[in-house]
Formats: sequence, structure tokens, C-alpha cells
Amino acid sequence: MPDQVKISHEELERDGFCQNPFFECLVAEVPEENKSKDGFTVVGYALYFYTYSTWKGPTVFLEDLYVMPEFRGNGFGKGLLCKVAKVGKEKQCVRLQLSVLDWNTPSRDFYAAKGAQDLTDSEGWHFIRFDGQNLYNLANEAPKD
Amino acid sequence: MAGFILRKAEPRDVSDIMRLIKELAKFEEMEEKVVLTEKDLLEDGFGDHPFYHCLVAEVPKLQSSEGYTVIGFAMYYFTYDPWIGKLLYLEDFYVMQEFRGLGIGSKILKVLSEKAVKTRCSGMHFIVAENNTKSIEFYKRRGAADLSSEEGWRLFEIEKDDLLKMTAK
Repeated sequence: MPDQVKISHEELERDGFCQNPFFECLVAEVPEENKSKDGFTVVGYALYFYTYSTWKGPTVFLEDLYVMPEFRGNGFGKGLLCKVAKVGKEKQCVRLQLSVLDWNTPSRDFYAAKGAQDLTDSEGWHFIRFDGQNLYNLANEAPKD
Repeated sequence: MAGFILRKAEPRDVSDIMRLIKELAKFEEMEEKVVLTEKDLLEDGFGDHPFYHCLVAEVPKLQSSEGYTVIGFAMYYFTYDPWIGKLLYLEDFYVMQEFRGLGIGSKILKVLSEKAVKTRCSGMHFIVAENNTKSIEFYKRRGAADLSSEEGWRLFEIEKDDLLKMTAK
């Protein structure tokens, strides 16, 4: 869904490196001699933040996990995931959550192999969103039931 | 109509918040999953680096139920979508049964969406159990989209034991 990326790198920089950052990010980097065919040495990343469960306490939410296709199969994805788990453990997080698209079978299998459970399947949880004009409408005037 | 106020939760509210968390969990038929304590809530919400923000709905003592004046709450925090930026995430939202139909829920949602707009959030997100049709209708009436149905997003979770196994690698 590349057309849905609306923010710029300036916003990313502002939101991730301010006094109270909205996210943390780990990058996977290769030495110069192993750079990608386009010349990049940063070949993967994991972007995450902390959320809170009223049942169990602090949670780490893995928002994005990505490794460039030409670097897959080398353990980068697993390495990034394990590092996020380690960061979460240090912050006393009791679990890690993420969302995956239903058609993304390789990712669903990757996480299932690490012990992830599909809570949409087992417990029926659905993601709900208010955005754009709907959010503004809600802020300006709540409609009657 | 019962008068009520919405205000920012304070440390003295943790026992009421805990009570309401358990009531909501009971309604979701998952009461046994609540392992959080009042001490956790206090440290996690009112310490140096709060993990959450909380609004409470309060009625005057005369209109209280069994002596409780805090009769609703909403717990939220800020998350991040690398496509659109900051989001307000609504974790728990609950009004005690006997205080429903008075506009308290609508008012809470309005205050939260004002907060989202004021803090430059691109949206407000949350999860709802698919069998909670009443809540789903409440949100859809106000323009919410069900991303699980419309776009196929599924919620995955790795629990503590499996998390620890990964840190050992």
C-alpha cells in the first residue's frame, strides 16, 4: 500500500528523536563491502513503541519489521525481532504485539514459529480506526445515538 | 439527566480505575486475565515515565452507585504509524451499566478526539471484540472503519514465556 505513506522524513525525525519520542527504531546494517545493489548499508529496520494493557501491564508493540528482499534468509529478521524482545524485557514488558495482514502468510508463519498467537482468530479482536474527516466530526460535534 | 464531569485521573483514582477495568473485563468474559494490581497502575500511570493517560467520569455523591462516584473511564496512549504519524490509541473505554444512555460515552469520545486533533494525531485507533456488536455499531455510527474486515489486519501476540526464549538467543 505505498500510496498510503503520507509522512515525510522530517516528521519521522521530529517524532522519533524529540524529548519524549513516539517510537523507537532498530536498524540492521551491513559493512560497506556487502552493501545492496543500490548502495545502501542500512538493509532492515524494526520500529516499535510501548503500549499498555489494563489486564497485564506494559507491552511492546512492533509496528514495522522489514528486511530488504536481497538480504533475506540470513537471520536479519529474526535478529531484529529478538532484539526488540530484549528491549521489551528490559522495560518490564509482559508481551509483544503486532498486526499482520491476513494474506501475508510468510509473515504469519514467521511469527507463529516464535510462539505468536493470532488473537483476531482465537478471540475475535478487530482493529477499528477513526481518521480524517470522521475524527474532526467527532471532535466538533458528537452525533446523537 | 445526571450531572457528570470528565477529568484527568489522579493517583487517588487507581482503586476506582482497577474496579472499572475488572468490570469491563468481566463484560468481555475475560475477567481471569486481569493480573494487573493497583500498585502497577499507580507506578505505570503516575511515575516518571507514564505508560498511559486516563480520563475519569465522575457524578455527584448523591447520584453515586453503591457509594462510587467514579462511574466511567477511558485509558489511552500515543502510538505511531510510519505511514501517517502519531495516533491516539484508546485502550479501555467503559461506563457503568446504570449510567449509560446519558451521553457520558459520547462525551468521552468527543474529548478524546479533540485531544487527538490538538496533538496532531492522524487518527484514533482501538480494538473491539467482533461479538461486541453494540460497541461496533456505536463506533460505526460515528464514522469508524473496521480495519480487520476492510483491510485484513489481524492482531498477533507473543506472550512472556516465548518473549524470554527469544531474548536467550
